[in-house]
Amino acid sequence: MNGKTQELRDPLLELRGIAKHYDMGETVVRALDGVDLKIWEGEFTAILGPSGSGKSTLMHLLGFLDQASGGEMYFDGENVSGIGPNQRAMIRADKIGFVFQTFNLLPRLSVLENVLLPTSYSRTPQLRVRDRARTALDRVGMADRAGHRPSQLSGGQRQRVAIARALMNEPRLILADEPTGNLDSTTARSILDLFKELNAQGGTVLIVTHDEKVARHTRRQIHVLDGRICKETTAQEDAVP
Amino acid sequence: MNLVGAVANGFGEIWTHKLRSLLTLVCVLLGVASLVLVQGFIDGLFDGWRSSIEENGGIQRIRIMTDTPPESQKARSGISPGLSIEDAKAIQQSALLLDGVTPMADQNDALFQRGRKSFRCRDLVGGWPEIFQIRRLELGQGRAFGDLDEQTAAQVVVLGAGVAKALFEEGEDPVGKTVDLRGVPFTVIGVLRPYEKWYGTFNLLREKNETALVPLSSLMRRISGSTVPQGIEVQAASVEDVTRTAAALESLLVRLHRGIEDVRVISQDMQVATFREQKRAFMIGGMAIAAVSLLVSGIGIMNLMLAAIHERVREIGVRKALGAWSRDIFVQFVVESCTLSVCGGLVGIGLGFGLISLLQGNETIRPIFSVNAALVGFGFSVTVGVLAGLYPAVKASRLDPIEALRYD
Repeated sequence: MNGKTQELRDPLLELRGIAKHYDMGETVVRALDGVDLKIWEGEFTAILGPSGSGKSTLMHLLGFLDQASGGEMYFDGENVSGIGPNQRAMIRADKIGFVFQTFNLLPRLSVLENVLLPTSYSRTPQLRVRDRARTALDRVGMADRAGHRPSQLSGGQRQRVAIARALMNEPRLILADEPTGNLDSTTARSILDLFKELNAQGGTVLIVTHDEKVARHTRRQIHVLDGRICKETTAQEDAVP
Repeated sequence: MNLVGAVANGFGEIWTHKLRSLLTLVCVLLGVASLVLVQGFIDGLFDGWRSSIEENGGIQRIRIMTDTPPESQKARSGISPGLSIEDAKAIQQSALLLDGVTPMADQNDALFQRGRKSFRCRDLVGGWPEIFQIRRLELGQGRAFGDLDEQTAAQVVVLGAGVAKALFEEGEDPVGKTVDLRGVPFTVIGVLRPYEKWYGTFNLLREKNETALVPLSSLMRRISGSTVPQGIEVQAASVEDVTRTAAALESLLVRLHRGIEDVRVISQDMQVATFREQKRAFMIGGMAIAAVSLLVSGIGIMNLMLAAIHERVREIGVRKALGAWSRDIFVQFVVESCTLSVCGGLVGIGLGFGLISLLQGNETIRPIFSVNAALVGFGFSVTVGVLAGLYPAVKASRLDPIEALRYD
């Protein structure tokens, strides 16, 4: 899929002049200041930037966890700039799959129950949830650990379960925030390979990271600095190590 | 998240923090158990009291007993003829609206004998035939004695069911048989129906079954030899008339006794008023206990929920990121605190009932199982759960998902 064919369709996500300002009394912190960005279906993208660059704020907006203070945002061609917290929650439940640096599995629940968690919050009817959860676990290679507790798993295994949870409701966008930040390099690599695999199967994956080496695995890198997108690079297939 | 899921989740949380949950549960448990127990005591006390009043003639029964005259009348108290059968006749002939009058005499521990069997009757009562109506005694077999028996001092007796059981074989018909009463032969003409009112394992009406009745003249002439009744019993025409009738009887008797106040007219309406007053006092006391326990368990639960939320900020963040609405988080925590309090409540009700059944053997304090108490206890625990869960749940639901996910 190249840039030209993508232009013919609506992007999955489009930001136009998005700003996020925090009023700190005397001063106004401009975490994001006029960001234009398009994410197409089937892309494998990294948002890259040092801490304080605004990449986390950008991720929160892209993941519908937060509301922009200015600009317009479109999801699937629909203007979602002014939607309320419950509508954002509905989009998070059905359209976004989150993967976190610290995995964020609920320790009390079994692996299977953790994967099932998103179905409790979806407002659309949920069928055959257990089968689907097992399929999701199968996709990340964790089907045999369904009954385990997160505490019985290694870091890499936990992240795989978290990815299965993100896949549970067949999201339009998988949003991973430093997914390899807490893993050793070998494990990190296998997780990144898993994302690559999911992308190859048609999934749209967006990784937020400060690590160039992680970003190099993706096909498109968006560099964020001081609340703006400063540079965009597209990796060649053969450039991926 | 549906309600079943939320309740299951609540149980999961309780199970994860066993000790902490147990301690909180004990708060609710003790509150509810004490409530059930106190309610059981109050109900038992008043239920017993009410039925004993009812079964002994109800509110309409007025008793007239000999009393010590006041100090000022002591010197000339000799001019009073004292309580006598004549008084009863005078009451009968007065213009008072009454349903029945009888002079009454009784003997305790009267020995009945029949062949080799014997029985000490708790209360041998002599009276006019009206006594059956006044004391609300119903015949199970045979007949009561009538005016003719009274006039002829007939040697006839009506036995309480317990007395008959002690003197006769199973299946044997006592009516028409002869028993010896203090060595005097009496013919059994009737047997009272058995009376039962269980207060735990104790039959409140046992005394009624261990009574025997004979005509007053028979008791006086054949057994005691006395001519003075111990009292007079009157049945007022209606419940509303009791106070007025009692006052009228008092003035009539003072007149008959030449101004000497040597009798006491005892009506049960005073007792009933006292009864109502005391019941109210007990209920207020019970409610105060309930309110304090409610407060204590509420504080316990709220404390636990606040601690739980503090520990689970991240979980709340994750749930919100996965699409939970604030309302879902709110419901989750309210249901969790309710699950905890209802568990405590149910165990508390069980414990309360357990204690009540343990106390059944005790003769002086006998609480009863009260469905009301169980319902109140259950309602109480749900209320505590909801109220104590509200504030922590609101706090949890308002957490910002971004902040919550960052929280360590």
